[in-house]
Amino acid sequence: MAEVASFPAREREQDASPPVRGEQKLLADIRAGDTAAAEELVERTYSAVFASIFRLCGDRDLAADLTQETYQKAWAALSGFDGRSQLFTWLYRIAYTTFLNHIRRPRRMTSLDEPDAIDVRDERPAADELLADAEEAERLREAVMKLSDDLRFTVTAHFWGGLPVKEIARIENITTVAIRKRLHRAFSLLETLLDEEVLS
Amino acid sequence: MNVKRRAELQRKLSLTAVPRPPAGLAERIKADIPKYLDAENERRRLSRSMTLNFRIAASIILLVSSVLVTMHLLREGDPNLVSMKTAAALPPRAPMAAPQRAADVTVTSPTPSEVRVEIAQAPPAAMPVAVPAPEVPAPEVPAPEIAAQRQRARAEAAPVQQLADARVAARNETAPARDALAENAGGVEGGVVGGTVGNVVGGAVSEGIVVQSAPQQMADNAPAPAAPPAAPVATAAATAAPRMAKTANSSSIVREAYAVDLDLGPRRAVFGISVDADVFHQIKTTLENGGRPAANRVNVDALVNYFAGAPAKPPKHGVRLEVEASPAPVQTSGNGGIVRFTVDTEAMPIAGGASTPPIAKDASLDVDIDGDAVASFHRIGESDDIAPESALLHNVSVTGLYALELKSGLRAMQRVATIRLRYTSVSDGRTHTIERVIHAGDFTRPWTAASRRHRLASLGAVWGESLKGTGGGVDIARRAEELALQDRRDARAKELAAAANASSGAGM
Repeated sequence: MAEVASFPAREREQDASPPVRGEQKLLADIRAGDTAAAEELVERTYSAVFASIFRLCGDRDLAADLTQETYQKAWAALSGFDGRSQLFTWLYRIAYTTFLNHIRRPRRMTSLDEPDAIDVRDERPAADELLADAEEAERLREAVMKLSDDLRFTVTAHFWGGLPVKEIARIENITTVAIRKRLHRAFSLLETLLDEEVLS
Repeated sequence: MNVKRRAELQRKLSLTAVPRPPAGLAERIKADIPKYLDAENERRRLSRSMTLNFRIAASIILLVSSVLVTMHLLREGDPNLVSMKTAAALPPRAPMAAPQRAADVTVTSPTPSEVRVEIAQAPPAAMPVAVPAPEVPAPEVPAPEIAAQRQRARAEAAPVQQLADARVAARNETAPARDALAENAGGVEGGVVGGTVGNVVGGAVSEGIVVQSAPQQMADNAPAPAAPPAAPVATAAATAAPRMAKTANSSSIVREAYAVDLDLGPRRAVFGISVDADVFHQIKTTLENGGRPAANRVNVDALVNYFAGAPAKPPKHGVRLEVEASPAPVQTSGNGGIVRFTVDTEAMPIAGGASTPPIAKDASLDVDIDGDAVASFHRIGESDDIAPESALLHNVSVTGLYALELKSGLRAMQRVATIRLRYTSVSDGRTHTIERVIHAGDFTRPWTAASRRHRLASLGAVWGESLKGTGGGVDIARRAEELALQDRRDARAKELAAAANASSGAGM
């Protein structure tokens, strides 16, 4: 991994939540056919969308492809966006669905490369440490992927997508208390899963 | 989970390293931006054009209505004059110039049925004013005589109209009532299906039959026939006769078209799973009479659905798939488990006798059992298959159960079963898939910790199977009594407890 961007959820939360007025203006401009506004939206959000998808799939190239697909779907669905949630929340929902569709669709081609081959081939001095971190991250990712749909979405949206609990509650149409309960339950299950991994 | 461990996990989740996006990704995305993003303007333009279309349509409707009203007013202005012209002035080849109202139709003929059929098919364009005045021959019957004939004919036609009204009223009556009515009307079964008596709207064939048959019987019973018709009208009636015969022949086509023949009641099976509530009541009656229900009369599916019942809170929108797992309620040996799936649809108040509208179409349930986790399984009920459902109605609740024998040494998160519900929503036309996964960990909590619906359904299933000849009833009765004691308002639990006690007392 040549360059590593730190991606704390709280910081991302602020990045993904520009002032409401600015976001609404941006949305209005895009709807008015302003291509420059659409490009600005891409500039503002694409790295966060990419990061979210990368954490879901663990593959850099795949994450890039799915990010591109996410925006293609977003342009097509723009007229249906009612503006009740934030733009990034809406984009994240599309990205997550795009990822799910990808893993559910039948595989026509099998890559001969290891999914994390790029990370392993890194020859920097701290490669061992990075590798250990990558393995741990991969274990964690696999454990998250084993969660049920609702728990998986809540965990990934909050920690990997950087969405605040309130936003997740809004798009899931449930209360924030229910989201926190989901997170609590997810932590318990993740702990169990990671312990089982270690024992095995 | 302790706080430290949780914090560590949160840290790991939050601080996962992420590579920077590949160079050129932003450009790739930007290149995909479509040229026309102004969906809002498109929508506005479409809205404007739709408004214009609506205005045009409204103008046309207004214009046509005005013309019809004007024609109606002209006709109503001098009914005697119209009748005179109709009765006397029309040439034989233009017999349909009479007014369209049923009461007026009877004026021109001693056999009202014939003329009414003829006039029911008359287009509105055939107005008496279209006949040139100089060509009108002198009437053979003076106007006062025609008026008198009209009064007599009206008096005779009154029972006919009553009979027709009775038929309208019978649309929502039972089949025997309808048959009796048909018998009274001379044995010809017509009926008004979506039609209006007098003005034939959407029920012309049925209307023709009603008018044709009833007066014939009346004529048989009548002490004195009506006055003979004027010559031109008699010719018109003769011309109409072949068409009447044709109409009468078509009665067999509409014989089955009564709304009352449609099955508007609740479905007895959904996805091929019986939801017939009568099954339990029949068994209960048999037990109360000291008998024992025959094994082939015990439908376990129906019992499961009776005790699972409707949800405490039906889904506010669309369709809900509820899935739950637990150990078997009466454990025999091994790692027996029960998996329940319940499909609930949105609630909708339905008036008595009205049909329930569908909420989804092309619905299918897919239950995928993982062979790595399950040694054996079967669906509890009459058949292993779950049939697809072409239409899911509102107010539906259907429950199915699977009995599983789990393998030993499973991990908590090991997948045991996946249940998918696919359907196409009637409201938006989109296909939806709801998927629920059952893990091995879901079987670790005791049966008593499961939801009330799950416990009642599974206990009902075990009781049903015991009625069929396997298993003991005493333990079921005890468990049902416990359930009934936990919630004294739960009538189903009480019913199950009483029925299980009765069946165990009957030596089963």
